Amino acid sequence: MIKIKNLNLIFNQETKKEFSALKNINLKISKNELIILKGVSGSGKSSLLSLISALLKPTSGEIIIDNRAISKLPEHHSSKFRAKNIGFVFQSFNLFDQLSVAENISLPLIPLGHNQAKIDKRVKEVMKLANISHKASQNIKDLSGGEKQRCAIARALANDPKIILCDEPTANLDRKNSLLFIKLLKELKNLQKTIIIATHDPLFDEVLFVDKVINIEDGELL
Amino acid sequence: MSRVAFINFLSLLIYKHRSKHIAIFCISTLLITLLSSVLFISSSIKYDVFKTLNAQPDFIVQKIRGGRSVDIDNNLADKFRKIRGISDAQPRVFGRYFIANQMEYFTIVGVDFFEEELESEFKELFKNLDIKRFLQEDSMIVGDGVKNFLKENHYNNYFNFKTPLGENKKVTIFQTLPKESNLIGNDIIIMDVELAREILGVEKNRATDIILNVPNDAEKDNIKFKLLSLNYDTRVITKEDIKNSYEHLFNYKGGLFLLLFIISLLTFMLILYQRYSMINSNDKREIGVLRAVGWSIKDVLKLKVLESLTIGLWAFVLGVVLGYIFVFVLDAPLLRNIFIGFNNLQNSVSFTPVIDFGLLFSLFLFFIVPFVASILIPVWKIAIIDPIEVMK
Repeated sequence: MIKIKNLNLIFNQETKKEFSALKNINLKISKNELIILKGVSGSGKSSLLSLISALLKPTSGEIIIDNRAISKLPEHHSSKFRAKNIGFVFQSFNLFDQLSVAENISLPLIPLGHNQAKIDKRVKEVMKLANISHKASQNIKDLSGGEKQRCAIARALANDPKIILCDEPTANLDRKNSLLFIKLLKELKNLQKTIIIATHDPLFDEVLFVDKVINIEDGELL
Repeated sequence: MSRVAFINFLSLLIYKHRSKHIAIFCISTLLITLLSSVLFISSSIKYDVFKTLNAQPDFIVQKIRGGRSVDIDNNLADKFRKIRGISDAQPRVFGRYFIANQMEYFTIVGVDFFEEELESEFKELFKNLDIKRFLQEDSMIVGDGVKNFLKENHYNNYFNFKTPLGENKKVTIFQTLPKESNLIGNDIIIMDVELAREILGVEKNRATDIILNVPNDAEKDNIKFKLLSLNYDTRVITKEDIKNSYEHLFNYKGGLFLLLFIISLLTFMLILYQRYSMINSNDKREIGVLRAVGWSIKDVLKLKVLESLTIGLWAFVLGVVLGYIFVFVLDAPLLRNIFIGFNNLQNSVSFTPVIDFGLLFSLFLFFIVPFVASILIPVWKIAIIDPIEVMK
C-alpha cells in the first residue's frame, strides 16, 4: 500500500545550513499494518510522517500510496489526497482552543465539500467511536488531557481515512490515558486502518498487535 | 468545498476570534470615520459653494486705480449692454461695514428691488418678500451671523449705522436669510440700493462693480477681450476664475487632511503587517492544523482573506455611517472650522448631505486592498511552511 523508494530530504540545500533530515529511506507498509517508528527527538520521524502525508516534498526519491506517486503531486492535489486519505494525531493534540469538540472534529470535513447536514452526521458518528459524545459542545480548553486526545482521534477519523499518522501521541498523556489510547488503536486496526506511530514511548514495546517496529536514527532506518 | 459549511466555519471563527479582531476593527473604523468625514465635508461644501456660484453672473467688471478697486461709473453698464453677446449688465453696490469697537465686519449688499434683471438668487430669495412694506422704512435682511452679533449687542430689531458723513442711520431688521445660505450669507446684510449707497458712501451715479451675463460660452473669451480693450482701467473676473479659486482652496484643505489620514492609514497597515508577521504561535498552529487536516494553501488563504475582508468591510461600513452622522447630523464639530474657516462672525452652517460615491469607492479600495494584503502576506508565508514544524 505505501512504498517509499530512495527517499532523501535535505533542508537548506546548497547553503551553509544544509541538513539531511532523511537519507535513502526504503520502506514498504501493507494495508491494515500498525507500524511503530522509533527514534529519539530529531531522528527524522516527524519529517517522514510529513512526507507520507504529502505535507512536504522530498528532495529526491518517491512515495507511492495505492499506486499513486503522492510526492509528485502539486500542492492543491496533495491537499485533496490528504483530506481524503490521511488522519493526523499530534503530540500536543493541536486542537482549536476556542472551538468546541464537535467544531474541531468537523474541520477535516469542510474541504471535502460535504454539506452541513452530512458533516454534522459524520461528527456524531466519530464522537461516538472515540467516546467523546458527552463533551460535544464543550470548549477544548475545558477538557482534560485524555479527553483532548479522544477529540484529536475523532478528528483524525472524521474523513474516514485509510492511513492514520500519529506523532508522539502519548507524550502528553499519563499512563492510564496512554493505555486507553493504545486500546483505541486496536479498534482502529480492526476498522482496517493503516497506522503509523512515531514515538519513543517504551509503552509501545509491550503492544502485541504492532506489526512492525522500525528504528530511525539521524535520518536513516536501522 | 461546500460553500455553506465554509461560511458557517468562517462565521464561527470570526465570532470565536472576536477579542483578537476588536482592536483592529476599532482603529479601522476610527480611521474610516475621519477619512469619510473629510470627504463628506469637502463634497458638501463644494456642492453648496458651486450651487451658489452657478447663480452668480458670468463676469464682474471692476474699475482699477493704483491697483485698487474703486467705484465704477453706472453708465458703463449701458455701454456694455451694447456689446453683442452680452445679455444683461447691472451695476452693483456693496461693501464692508466695519464696527471698530468690536473689530467686526458686515458685508452690505445693495439691491434695486424694481430692477427687472435682478440676479436669480435674489429673485428666489425675494419671492415671498413684501417689497412694499420692506421699502416703507429703512429695512434690511441679515445673515444668521449678523443677527446673532446684533442680538449680543442688544440690537434686537434694528441697528444704527454711521454714514461716512458721520450721521446715524437707523435700519430695521426685516427678516433673516435662510440657514442654507449661511456658508456664504452668514455676514451679509441686504438692503435697498439707495440706502446702501448712503451707508457705504457710494455716489449716486457710481457702483462698486458691474455684472454681466454672456449666454454663449464660446463667446466668453472674446467678450472678455473686448471689455478689456474698451476699458483699459478695468479688471474682469469670470465665474470660472472664482470657481477655480474655491476649488483650489477646498482641494488644498481636503488634500492636506486626506494626506494626513492616508499616512495614518498606511502606518496602521504597516503595524497590521508587523502584527501578523510576528503572528503568535497559536495563530501559526491553527494554520498548521488546517493544512494537516486537508485544507490546501488556497483554502487557508481564502479563509483568511474572507476573515479580514469581513472585518474590513464592517469597519468600512460602520466608519462611513459614523462619518455621515458626524458631518450631516452633528455638523462636524472641530473639523468644520478647519474647512469653513474661523469667520469674523460665528457661523452655524448645516452641511447639505452630498455623497460622492466615486470618491467613497476609491477610499474603499484604498483601505481594503492594503488591509487584506497586510494580513494575507504574512499568513501566506506561514501557510507554505511545513505544518508539522509549525505545530511543534
